[in-house]
Amino acid sequence: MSRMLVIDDDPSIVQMLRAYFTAKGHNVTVARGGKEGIAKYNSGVFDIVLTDLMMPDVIGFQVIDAVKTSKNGARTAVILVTADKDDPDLSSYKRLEEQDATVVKPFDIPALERKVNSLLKAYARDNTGR
Amino acid sequence: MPLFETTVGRVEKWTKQGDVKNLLKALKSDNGAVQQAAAEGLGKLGGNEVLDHCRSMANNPDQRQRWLVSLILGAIATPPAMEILASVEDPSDKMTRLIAKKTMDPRSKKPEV
Repeated sequence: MSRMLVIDDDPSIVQMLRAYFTAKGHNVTVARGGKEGIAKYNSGVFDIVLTDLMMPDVIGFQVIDAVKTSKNGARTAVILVTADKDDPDLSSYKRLEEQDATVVKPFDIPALERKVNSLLKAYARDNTGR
Repeated sequence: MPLFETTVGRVEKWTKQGDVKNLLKALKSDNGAVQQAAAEGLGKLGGNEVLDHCRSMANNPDQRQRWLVSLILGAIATPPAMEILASVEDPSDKMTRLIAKKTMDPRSKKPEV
């Protein structure tokens, strides 16, 4: 399965996502904030990153920038998790197109899982040139 | 105003006492912090009563209640909890997907006469 990086400052969300996706066979690494997330991304190889938008140290858009401008960025799917879909920063952000999907909290895990699986399939197809 | 208002402190006390019944009631509180503390407490305690509650709420139309159930199950993190978590979903989404699946299933087609 995939190598997944989960970045969120809320320990209960991190715990839930780690438990579920690990049970589904993904190799899950977690980070409790944006800075830690970027550091972990840069020291490993990941197929997909799930990042929270609002974190105390580094916001999700900065994480997306760091991922997408990295060597493996084009091969990494990114899902942005936000608590406010009407956040003006979200609609005005100039690099909005760089995330692959947005999920609004609270969300249902099966819906997120379908999004994760479809992105992983799409990236796998692109990376094999099919 | 109720005589004993549910507070985060009271919820933490119930968690220490292993009082699942009051924690389950606190999930229905109007106070988000109380709900969150109750979910954390129930996640720590786990057990069959908590899992049964989560199972019964898995397709509740209230998104907030489904979210709290997801947090509880994520904290319990056992295989049965993960099985329930996989079914925590908006009932209307679930119905739509079931109909779509049935439509795509060739066995569901009526034979042509």
